[in-house]
Amino acid sequence: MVDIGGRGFGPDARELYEEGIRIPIMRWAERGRLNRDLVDIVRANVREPDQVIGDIHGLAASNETGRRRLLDMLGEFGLTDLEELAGFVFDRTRRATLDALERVPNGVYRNTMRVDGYGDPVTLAAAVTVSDDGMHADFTGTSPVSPFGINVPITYAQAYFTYGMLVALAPELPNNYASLLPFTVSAPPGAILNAVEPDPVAVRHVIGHFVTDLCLGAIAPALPDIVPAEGSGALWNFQASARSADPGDPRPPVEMLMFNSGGSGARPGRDGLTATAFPSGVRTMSVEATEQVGPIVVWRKEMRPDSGGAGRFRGGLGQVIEIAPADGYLFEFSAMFDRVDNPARGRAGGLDGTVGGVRLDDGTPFGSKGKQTVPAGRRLILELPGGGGFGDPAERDPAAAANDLAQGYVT
Amino acid sequence: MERAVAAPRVGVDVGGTFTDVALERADGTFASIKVLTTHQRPEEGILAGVSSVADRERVQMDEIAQIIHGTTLATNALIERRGAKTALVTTTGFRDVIETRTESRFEQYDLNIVLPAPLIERKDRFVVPERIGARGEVLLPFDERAAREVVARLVDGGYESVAVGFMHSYRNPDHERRFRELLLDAAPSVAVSLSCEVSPQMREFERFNTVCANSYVQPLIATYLRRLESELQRMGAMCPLLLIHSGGGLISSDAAASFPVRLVESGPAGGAIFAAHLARAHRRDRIVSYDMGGTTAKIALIEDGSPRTAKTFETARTARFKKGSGMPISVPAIEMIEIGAGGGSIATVDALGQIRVGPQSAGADPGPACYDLGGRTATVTDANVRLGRLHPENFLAPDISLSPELATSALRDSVGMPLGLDNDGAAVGVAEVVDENMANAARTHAVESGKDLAGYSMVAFGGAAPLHACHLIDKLGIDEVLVPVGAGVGSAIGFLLAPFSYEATRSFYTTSDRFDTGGVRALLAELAAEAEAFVRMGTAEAVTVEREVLMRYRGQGWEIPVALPHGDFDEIAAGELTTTFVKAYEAFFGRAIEGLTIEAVSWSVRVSSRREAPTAIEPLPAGQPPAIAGTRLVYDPAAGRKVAAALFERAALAAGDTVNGPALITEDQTTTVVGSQHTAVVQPDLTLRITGTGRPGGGWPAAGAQQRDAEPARPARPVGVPALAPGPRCRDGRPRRPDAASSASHQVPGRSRDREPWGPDADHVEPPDIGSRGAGADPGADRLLYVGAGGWRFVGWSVRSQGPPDRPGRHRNAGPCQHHGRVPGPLHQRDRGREHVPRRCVSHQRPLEGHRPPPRHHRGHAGVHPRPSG
Repeated sequence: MVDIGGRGFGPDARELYEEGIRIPIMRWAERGRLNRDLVDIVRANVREPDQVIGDIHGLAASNETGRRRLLDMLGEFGLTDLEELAGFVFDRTRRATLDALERVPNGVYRNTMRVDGYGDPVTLAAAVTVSDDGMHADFTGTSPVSPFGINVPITYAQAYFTYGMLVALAPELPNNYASLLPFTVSAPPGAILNAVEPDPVAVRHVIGHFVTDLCLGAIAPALPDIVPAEGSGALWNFQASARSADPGDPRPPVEMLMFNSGGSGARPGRDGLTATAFPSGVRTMSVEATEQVGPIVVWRKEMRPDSGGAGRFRGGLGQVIEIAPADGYLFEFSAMFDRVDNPARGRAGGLDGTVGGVRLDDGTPFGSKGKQTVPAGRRLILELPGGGGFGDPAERDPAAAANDLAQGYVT
Repeated sequence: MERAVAAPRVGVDVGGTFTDVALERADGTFASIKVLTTHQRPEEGILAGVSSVADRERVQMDEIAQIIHGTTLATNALIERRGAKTALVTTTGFRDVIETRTESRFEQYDLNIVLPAPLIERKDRFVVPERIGARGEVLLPFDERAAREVVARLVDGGYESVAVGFMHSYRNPDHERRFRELLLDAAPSVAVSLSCEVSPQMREFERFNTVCANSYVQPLIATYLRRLESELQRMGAMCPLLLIHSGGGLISSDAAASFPVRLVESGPAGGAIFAAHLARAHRRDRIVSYDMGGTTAKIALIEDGSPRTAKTFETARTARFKKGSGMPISVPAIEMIEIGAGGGSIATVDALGQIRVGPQSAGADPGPACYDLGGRTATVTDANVRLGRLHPENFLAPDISLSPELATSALRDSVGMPLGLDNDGAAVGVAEVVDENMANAARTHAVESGKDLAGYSMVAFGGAAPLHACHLIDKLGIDEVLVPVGAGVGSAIGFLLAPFSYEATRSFYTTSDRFDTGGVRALLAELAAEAEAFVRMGTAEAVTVEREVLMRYRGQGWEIPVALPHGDFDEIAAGELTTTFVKAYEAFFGRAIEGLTIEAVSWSVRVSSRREAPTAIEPLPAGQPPAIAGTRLVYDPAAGRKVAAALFERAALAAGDTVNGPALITEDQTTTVVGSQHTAVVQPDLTLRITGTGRPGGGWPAAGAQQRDAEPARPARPVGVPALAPGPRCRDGRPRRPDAASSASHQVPGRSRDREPWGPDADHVEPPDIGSRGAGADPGADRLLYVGAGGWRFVGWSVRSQGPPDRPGRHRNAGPCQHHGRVPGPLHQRDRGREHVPRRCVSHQRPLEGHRPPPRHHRGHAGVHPRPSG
């Protein structure tokens, strides 16, 4: 969804109710007839009604395709339901998942991580208990909920914990009910990883994406050849509303969204990935396509040399992005960036990645969170953080070091 | 038939393993030959093949009127990184576009993922201060001084080839052209490729990568083409050399030398043309073109006899054909989906006890185990040998004979042992999985194209396709498959059927509420002139012009193609465009969206010489069965066991002959399997038309029997073997809960065998030895039920017939099943999932630029993209 109403995609709401329109479970269409009331309510409450309605149609269409394929499959194999098949698949998967978890000895593994948060820094803490039945992450010791929308519902934390464990231990297994079942979480009430209604949660990914590195870091001592250094973590999404600098111009503002990624952490056998999302799987979009949509100009979007943490294996580089409103325009944007004060930490002797930065081209510093305006004639400069290094930098292969210099990854 | 250039003409397809040569005779028929590809100097294999087919046909080299060539040379150079020393010059601020790619990981579950390295390293990428805006306006003038400095560095650096890609150059090419002038002034011999000419389409990663690829292979291809031309002339072939491009048309060798990136998918394009031609001759308006060779299977949907082109595709995938692991190429290419499923595809067993097939391939060296060239891992070809489908001494080329013993031992080691399956069981599992992978690729491609396969016909060609086609159409619910003559060299024949054509494409953004009719009209005229100029380099024949625009609703990230009407593009045509789009959108996605502004993004004009209309083939009804050359035990998926199949030589079949399955029809370059529930009728052009009959599975009389009664209703059975009970059998092979305490006890081989008939070939069908694996929840036991269900239906049946009465009689009235003996699909979904969609969707799924599954113009691309939060 390009927009869900409310304050828009940003961290500034103080309550869930400000963050967007809430729709209880109800029919989008019945027997092929659209629920007009719902369509009208959605249209009246979002900034880009055409696109949002289009999005919902897209979701419904893919759902329908899935439904048809499921029925076809049932027909092809003469099944009337999925019970027995699911039982078989789940049993297989459960056993294979538990087998995979045996690589980590039973015990309790702990880690903490400090990230920027909104206003106050946030401490994330995890105690991962490994037993014969699975893995449990307890987030006691984590900072309390924030007054801003960076809070994380615990289901979201559970997803990023589970992803981290599966990607490290059982990457080849299918993802289903049974492979997810061995992974459980808990957190004290009021913790930032246990947000409940009406805590604001609109940009939960900013904190939530760190849960993967947090929990991987906990089990790293048991898996020294698998777990990478910390990465930039949260995406640096750029959500902007561009409008004419002339207040009398009647044209509505144009909403724009870009996804951008910093560097990922170095792996125990390879450098980190430059400007690549982890744990998110999001893709960036074409600058040319973005500029077709709205009155902004991206003047620069390229690697940020020297931002990857040094190590036997180097952290992935961040990137530098410069964005200006087109002539005669200005734009407001919601900052939702992290690792501006707290770097991605290296592992096994690797150095930290470089922290990020947010400013205007005239040097004016900007906050890493919250709605801010880039005036006509100025450029916003985003410096995305690099990933942490892995292993002692002195042990780096000289050929790799020489290549870093030749390519300008390191200056 | 009327053709501007008379026969004899020669088509040459240089593939990874074989070089196929087809010669068109004066009567419109074809002679063909396969020779091994000579990788170091491909022209040697070509010359050998051309002269040998010419000799055989008693054609003098100087009589050849035209040579049409398709080659994987450009593709291989990209894959193997064997191109020129190349630089990229780009806009300041965008030096790393081809290296940071989409900023995502194509495999979400691999911590050690290696992203594809950029074709041109960072140290070879240079920037010039300049900037064009989205509307083509100059935001920052071209910096002449800085450009001259870059030129000096390029000259000093000794670059052979230079790619130039500036932002928005598809809208305003001035800066790119200016840079070329400066460069050529200083270094006239350097090869230069401009993105505004190679691929003037919006989206910088794709366009820059495309111009880099063109630049990278250009010196190599240009040299090769000149060498080939002079060698051909030395041999006396003075005729023009033409190239087939990925869009399925011919271009002159000069055009190919300038834009070699257009050759990247030429082989598969030939196959699609071949299939389209057959479809027109047989008057089938919707076909699935199915081409299966040694390494991959390619599936294309062709409507109204003319393959569609995509504007972008991905080549040189580095990770198991995985989407996103290759490089995007934005030039028109025939739309198809390609998966790692071929005769050489390797079978393995994964941690879950699932059989996986491909995408790794044993290739031609060492090849499948049965080639006896050193390969030890089981492949699809090994499974086909074990299942009796391939005759050991009659495979592809007379000089390759197959070893059934080596096939069997590889199947045992790779699949049978890990799973506790016997040799036939392992072979059945491998064959089922590869068929299911292909069926799923076809389904995915249909969904992405907004099509439903019901009512389609299949055209099967390539060395391996006729072996698998019957089972595949059953899986897909398709009624008939056509296996043309020359199926083994379909691409080379396709080259001879291709028109001259060129598709010019350019991005030009305009919206329905402020439609720039004048701008579009001018653009279309330019594109038509450009495309026709290319076509005129090859022919003076009359041409047809087709025009298309990619459109979307505002805010969407991907477009769908909309055909433009013929004639002047005026206000009326512009007005109708909205309606046409809405209809196309409905066809694609099931419903239109009201009230949205519509955007037109990219425009293309395709100019083609007129295709000759093939002579219509009148369908022949079933006739008499021909004489049987022998019988052989062949595994039949519908029967779920080995049955006695009749053998026929294709060369001996005449129009009207009707072969009732189970049967094998052998020819030099392939073998066609006719399933027990299928009938093949030889058509007037000797194409085999195979349809399902709905007959229950059965066998032919045992070997030595004479021609059987024309009445096919009740095939004879060996005495003492009861007929198969139709109904519940397949159902019984379905999954059971493995934790049911009784399951293993019913799988004692002796017991099931006492109860089960399994046909005349009982000696070949040993139930898997699982008796020693223990009871209860033994992993071997339930695995057997499922993987084994691929063929070992009787195992499941045995369990079912004695199993716990938890749901008694549930399927009693289900009727005869067409599909018994199948591996339940979902257990093998992972292979297809890995090919087509991200396998897991933990909690982040968001479309990239927009909100649609990238439809047809983004070839082979599934529509799920991760999202950041959620």
